[in-house]
Order: sequence, then structure tokens, then C-alpha cells
Amino acid sequence: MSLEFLNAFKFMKKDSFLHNLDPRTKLVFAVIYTISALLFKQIILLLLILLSLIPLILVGKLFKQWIKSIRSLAFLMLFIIILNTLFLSLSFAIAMIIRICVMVSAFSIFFLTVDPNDLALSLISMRIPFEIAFAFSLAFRFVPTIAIEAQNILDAQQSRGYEMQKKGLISQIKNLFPLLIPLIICSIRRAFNVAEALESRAFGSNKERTYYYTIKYTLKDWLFTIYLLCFLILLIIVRINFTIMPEILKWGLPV
Amino acid sequence: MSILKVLKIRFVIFLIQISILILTINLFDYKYYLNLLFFPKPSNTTEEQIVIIKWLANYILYKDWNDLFFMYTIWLPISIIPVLIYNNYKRAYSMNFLTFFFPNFFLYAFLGNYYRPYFNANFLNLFIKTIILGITIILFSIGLSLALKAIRRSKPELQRDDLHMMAELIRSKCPQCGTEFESRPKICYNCNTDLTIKSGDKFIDTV
Repeated sequence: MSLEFLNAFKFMKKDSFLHNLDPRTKLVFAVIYTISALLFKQIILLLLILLSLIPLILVGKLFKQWIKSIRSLAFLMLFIIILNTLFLSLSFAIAMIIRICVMVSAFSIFFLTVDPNDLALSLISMRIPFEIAFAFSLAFRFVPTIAIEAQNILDAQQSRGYEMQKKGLISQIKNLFPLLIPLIICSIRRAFNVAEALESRAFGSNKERTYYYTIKYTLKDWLFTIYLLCFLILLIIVRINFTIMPEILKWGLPV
Repeated sequence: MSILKVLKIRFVIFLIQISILILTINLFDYKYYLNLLFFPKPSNTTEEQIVIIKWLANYILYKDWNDLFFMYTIWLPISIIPVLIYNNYKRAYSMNFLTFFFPNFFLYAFLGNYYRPYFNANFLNLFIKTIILGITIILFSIGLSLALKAIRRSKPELQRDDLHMMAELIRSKCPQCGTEFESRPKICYNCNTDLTIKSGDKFIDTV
């Protein structure tokens, strides 16, 4: 068992077009792509939406991480194929797989390119109360830390001779207990530490806060948001006028 | 990423195996005659669906001993690919199981969904044939993997002998107090003699 797949959602500081965008733009991007994936259940259209993500992934230098995030879906894909083929159709199964890939890719790009600190600032600028924004960014910030800790616990248990690599679904579930109990205890302990640290810094004493760093919606953010909105409007138009669209867009497997 | 790493990805092996299977079946123009005419066609089943069912049947179903022999000569060489790529017999047979499972699963699922009368009448007969072919493929891949493992085992033993020889070579002895070491230390822990001085009479090798 390896928790390496969690790296596919871990923020990495890079100098790219996507990394330099405002976090709000990237949130809009993730939401718009999720909505557009939910608009259709035709293979070709969903595939086109997925393909439109690839240039962005390449521009953001995130190809390897994106592949990892898609690979982590392998079991889910298998499950979707088997169940949908048995009870509905293979065509629908493939469409659902592409839909999930689009949604996971969009949020993977979001998590990979947004600094947790910037996320809190962006949420505050969207008039979300500071406490909620801080809790959200803290949760987001601690995902990689907990992943590293889980990996350490895993290594520690293996060094004690516990067989974590056992195959089989039941064995894998059983294997989780020696990992989860220390992980939960460590997380609770850390939560207490964080709470004490926050209290010692008088968290919440002042309603009017000032920030060391500020975020700005620049021209390229506006341009990218306009592109995203145009993309969504185009897809909504296609959805509304779907009956008069070319046959190729409606193509699906006969089975 | 090296070629071997790419080849070890299950999806890549699956694609290679399925591509070879399709190529060889088409090359030999093998056809399994599915007797669908004797059964009433369901009203919502299209011709395309029947074509797909018949196409899938060509890759896994057989009628007589000749067909069975042909199927073995196609499937068994294909099942060697994971055996050669993976050193582990569990991974090899699970990969072969996966490659064998999908065409079968789709055939039976499509037959059940789109040609229920034929499926109800022939399922057991077809499924027994599938099981026989599947078990043979899995047993073959396990047997071949274990045989290859046995052949490869001789190599690490040679390496182990080399390691013993090297350990013997680096064994040393303090010229002052005679303490034996399994390595070549700089200072003797027993009498603090500096063992780095390279005079022939100061450092005694046991080998």
C-alpha cells in the first residue's frame, strides 16, 4: 500500500501561467469544468472537454501529476465499467469514466496550483467569514502533512514486521486499522496544538484584520475568466440545441 | 521513464495482448458460428449489437477440438508476455486473468443484455468452455513463471558466493593485539593502534 497518489493533489510551487493566476480564477475554472462535464453524457463531447484540459495541463507543467491523479482512479474506473455494462451500457460507462476524469483533472489542477495561504485570502475576498476561510485553508494545508504522516506510520508498522502489502480486498481493509488508529490520534493531538497556537496568538480577537500579502485580479485573470465563461456559454448553447447538432457529437457505442 | 517501466504498466500490457489477439485471430480468419437464428431476436436489439456480440465470440468461444486447439495456440503464446515482463508469478497470472476476463465479461454481458433467449439457453455450455480455457491459461502462466523463477534462481546464488569471497578479502587483523575485524578499520578499538599506516608489517591480512 502506498500513499504516493496523494502527491497528485499536493501544491507545488512552479513558475507557470496557471500557477501565476489568481486562486479565484482557478476556482472558477474548476467549477466551470465540473458543470460542463455534468451537462453531457455523450462520449465525444465529454472527450472534447477532457482534451481541452490537456493544453492547460501542459502549460502548467503538471502532466506527471495529472497522470498520477488519473491512475489513482483505476479501481473506480474498473468498478464503473463492470457495473454500467451489466446494468446499463458500455457507452454510458465510458462516458461516466470521461466525466469523472474531467472533474478529477479540474480539481487536481486547482489543488496542484493553488497555495493554501492564497486560497484563504481568495475566500476572504469573496466575503466568506475569516474563521470559515481559515478552517478551509487549514484543512487544505494539512492534507499533504497527514499524507506524509500516514506514510511514516505505514513504514513504522512495516519495520515492526506488520505485513501491509498483503493483497486482497479484506486484507487491505484489515491493514488500514494499524494505520488509521495512530493517524487519528496524531491528528487529534495536532489539532490541540494548532488550537493552542491560535489562542496564544489571540485568534479572533479583532474583527478587522489586515494581511501581509494581498491578491489581485489581474488582466490575465480577467481574460482567462472571460474565456471560461465563453466556454461554458458555448456548452450551454450546445446542450440547449443538442437536437440540431451534427450527428458526430451524438455518437455513442451501440452496446 | 524507461521502456521496461512503461511495459510493466498493466494497461500497456493489456493493450499489447489484446492487439496481438485481434491481429492473430484476423490473420487466421477464425470465425465462431453463433447460432442466433434459432432464437427470437429481441425487439430492441439492433444489428450493430449483434455484430459486436459475434465479433467478441470469435476471440473466446470454440466449437470442437480443432477450435479448442486453435484457441490454445493463440491464447497461450499471448499469456507468455506478462510472464516474461514480470518476475512475479502472481502478477503474471493476475494480468493474464484480467486480459482473459474482459472479452469474456463483455460477451456474456452483451449476450445477457441484448440477446437474452440465446443467453438463457446456452450460458452454462459456453461458460464451461470459457472456464476450461481460462483455467488452462492461468495454470500455464503460473507454471511458466515458476519454471523461469527456478532458472533465474541460480544467478543470485552465484552472487551470494561472490559476496562471501569479498567478505573474506576485506577481513583484517590488528598487528598489535591480534584483534580480528570483519572490515578494514582505521583504528583498532582494542588497543587504539592506528591501522591506516601503510607499512607492510603493521597491517596483517588474514586472507
